[in-house]
Amino acid sequence: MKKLFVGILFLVGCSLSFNCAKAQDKILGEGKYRHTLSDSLLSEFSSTVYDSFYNPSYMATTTSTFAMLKIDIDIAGKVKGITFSDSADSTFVQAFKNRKKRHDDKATLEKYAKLKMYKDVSLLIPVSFEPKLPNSDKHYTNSYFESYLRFNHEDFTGKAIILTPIFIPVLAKGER
Amino acid sequence: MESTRIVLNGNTSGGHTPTDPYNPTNPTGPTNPNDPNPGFPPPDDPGPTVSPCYVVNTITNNVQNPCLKNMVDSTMVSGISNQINSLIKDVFGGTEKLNLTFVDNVTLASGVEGHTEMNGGFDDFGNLNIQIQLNKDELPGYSQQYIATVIMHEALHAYLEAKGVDPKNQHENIIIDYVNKMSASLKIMFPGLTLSDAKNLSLGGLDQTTTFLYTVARDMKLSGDFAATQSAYSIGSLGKRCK
Repeated sequence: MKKLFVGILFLVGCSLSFNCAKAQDKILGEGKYRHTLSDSLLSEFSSTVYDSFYNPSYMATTTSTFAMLKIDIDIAGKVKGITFSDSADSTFVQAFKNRKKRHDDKATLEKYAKLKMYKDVSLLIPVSFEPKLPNSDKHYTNSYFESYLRFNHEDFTGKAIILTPIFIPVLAKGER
Repeated sequence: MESTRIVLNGNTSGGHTPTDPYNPTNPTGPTNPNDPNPGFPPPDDPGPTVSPCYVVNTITNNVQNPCLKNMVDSTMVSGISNQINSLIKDVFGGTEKLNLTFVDNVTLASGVEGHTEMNGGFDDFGNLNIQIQLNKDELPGYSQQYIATVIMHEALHAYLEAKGVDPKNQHENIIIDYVNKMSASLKIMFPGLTLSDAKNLSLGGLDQTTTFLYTVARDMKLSGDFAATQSAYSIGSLGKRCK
């Protein structure tokens, strides 16, 4: 009985602390556009990634890419690194490095991690760029997929949270 | 060539914005310097009115090509009111401002008919300064019906940005929620256009979406009509031409 009471107390405590932490995650927007502050922070970062490749200059690229973007969050909740997996070619990586820096992405991600209480974990975001649709090159091979979760020639291992993918399809004709 | 600039939605309001007050791309940044509680919806009782704030949405037509310029005018600026341009004109009613500029002086890759440059989303003052780029090398030879859909499509990107919809989800949103509105708007602009052609034209640029692939493309009849209509009103001879 005592164990049960302690267990319930623990659950209530967890629930309260969870709710308190969650309370910071404000509800924003109205109606079908209603979402949370953490949603908007992630959206802010994901827009940066999307815009790096979905823009007039990069859209002329005809090479497909399927990669994982890894954001390492350290034990203090700080961003320690943002890297693409080895399946991303140098042009793709360079386009991200050269992205227009309109926002402080690191600060955005740290606010996001704080709201979600993410520490000592990696955030993995699948990113794909597929041009020349609907007849794009179906060039993916096993070795390409093996490199999908490999960073600097090492397979990824560790705690991770996979976030919503960023797929960037581009039509050969009629793209808008 | 002179640019056309119109001011929409001129009105006065208090310190709070009645529509989507949050700032999706800079949510922790100031949306209104006078707002002590940014990010929250307005209370039922807005309280005493703070200093009046004149609210404007602007659409500037800096397009140089005469055909495209006239199409921007008739579709978005001074043309007949329709469901799409009404959405844009009503996008904000509060303290934020949407500055929408149409241009055709940016080189777009072959096959890219239009592009909406978000410029990083909301600025530090909670305003959106969006540029819609039209492909001057490809569009002028296409039908006016086709060009109108490109303009509406890009304007919807601006609208969805204002509503905080993630860019990567905007095409899916357009095909689900706005294709019928685009079709209706096209029918208002071009009364002789059949509903079928209006819908197939409105689906342009959306054929990479999951909704298209799992609905339209699975119906070979619909899919065939789509491709044929897109082709006929662009490189073909159907529709009203500028020259």
